Amino acid sequence: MIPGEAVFRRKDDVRFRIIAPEAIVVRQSGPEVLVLNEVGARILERIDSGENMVTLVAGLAEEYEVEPKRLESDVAAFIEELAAGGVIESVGAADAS
Amino acid sequence: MSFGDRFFRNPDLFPARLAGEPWGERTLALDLAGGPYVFRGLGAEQEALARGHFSGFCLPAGAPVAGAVDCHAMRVVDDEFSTFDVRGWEFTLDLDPTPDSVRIAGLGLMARLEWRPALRAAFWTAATGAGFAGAIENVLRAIVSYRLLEVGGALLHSAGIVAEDGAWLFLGRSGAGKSTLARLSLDEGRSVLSDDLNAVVLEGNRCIVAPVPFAGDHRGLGTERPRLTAICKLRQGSATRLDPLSPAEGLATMLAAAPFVNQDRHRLEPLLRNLEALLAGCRRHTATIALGAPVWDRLAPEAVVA
Repeated sequence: MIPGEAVFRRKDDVRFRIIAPEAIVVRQSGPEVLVLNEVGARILERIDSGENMVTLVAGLAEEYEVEPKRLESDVAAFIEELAAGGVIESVGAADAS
Repeated sequence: MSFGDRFFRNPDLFPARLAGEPWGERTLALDLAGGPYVFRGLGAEQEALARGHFSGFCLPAGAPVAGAVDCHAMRVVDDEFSTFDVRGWEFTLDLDPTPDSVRIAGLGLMARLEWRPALRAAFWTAATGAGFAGAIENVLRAIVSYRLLEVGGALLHSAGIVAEDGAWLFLGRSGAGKSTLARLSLDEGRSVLSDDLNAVVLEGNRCIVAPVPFAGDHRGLGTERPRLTAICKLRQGSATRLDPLSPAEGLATMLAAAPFVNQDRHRLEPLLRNLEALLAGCRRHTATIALGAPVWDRLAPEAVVA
């Protein structure tokens, strides 16, 4: 479970480019190229802007008109996948209020 | 492992500039995508090997080579290089890019590319015979990759096949089926540009596939310059078919297929710009190929040779 105040950032060797509506992520140490769908691209954009988990889920829920509760587990799973794949890393916590 | 550790006895002795002992005083100019390219410092044996290896791409002596990319061939003693058991080893090169140079290390090979301000290069090897021909081709592949990046193009791991509407590039890494697809296409009367690497360049507002002497089993004659009409992500399956490929998937496929430069963090943005521009002018597909069965009547029924 990812705490609500958790903040992530893109790793230094990772590049990100929106090819609307999708995006590509390049891990240059690999090299490896991933394709994100529209929602995945929006999540990584919000991570890039420094949002913590609570803010990110709330913003996404508003954007896609979904209840935040319904999004939480999917977003957390996706973030864990990005972290396991070396795309993002935790930078600790920010105030979730 | 640090740069060159696998290949050199002492990686710290990697040449810091484009200097060394040439093999001789002969030169060879090659005419291919992004060129011309001029190899200097060749001996008689090295020139003959290179002429044979790049037949069809050699310019006659005295031909104008204004704006050419210079590459100097240097000899070193074999003791500089490590030896190791290559059984089961997949051939790879180490790359060490910086903003104004790229160092390359390989089996029996050192190479350096520099921008001061124009691209030029040198390579050092002790190899003779087929080993020298292999070394010069590996260096040229790297030089052409970087040169095409400068001129708005790209070198792509792909099988290039000519259909009625232009060239189709089937992109995939080793083992994806490029050579098999090339052979099947030849059997069906299609012209094959290369089954390994193809150069894509912009000429005005046209995107064309220009000849390069880099191939596995099948290489074209080096004379065709067809317009690029389709980029296909190649995969094998039980039935041959074409499916749509999104712009992001297309770009990711091209990026993964762009050797050398796709490992260069200093040049990723220009590479992405080039690939996006090249991709914008052609169709995008995922091509699933059932190997061993006719291909083109399923891929493009309207493009079957009568």
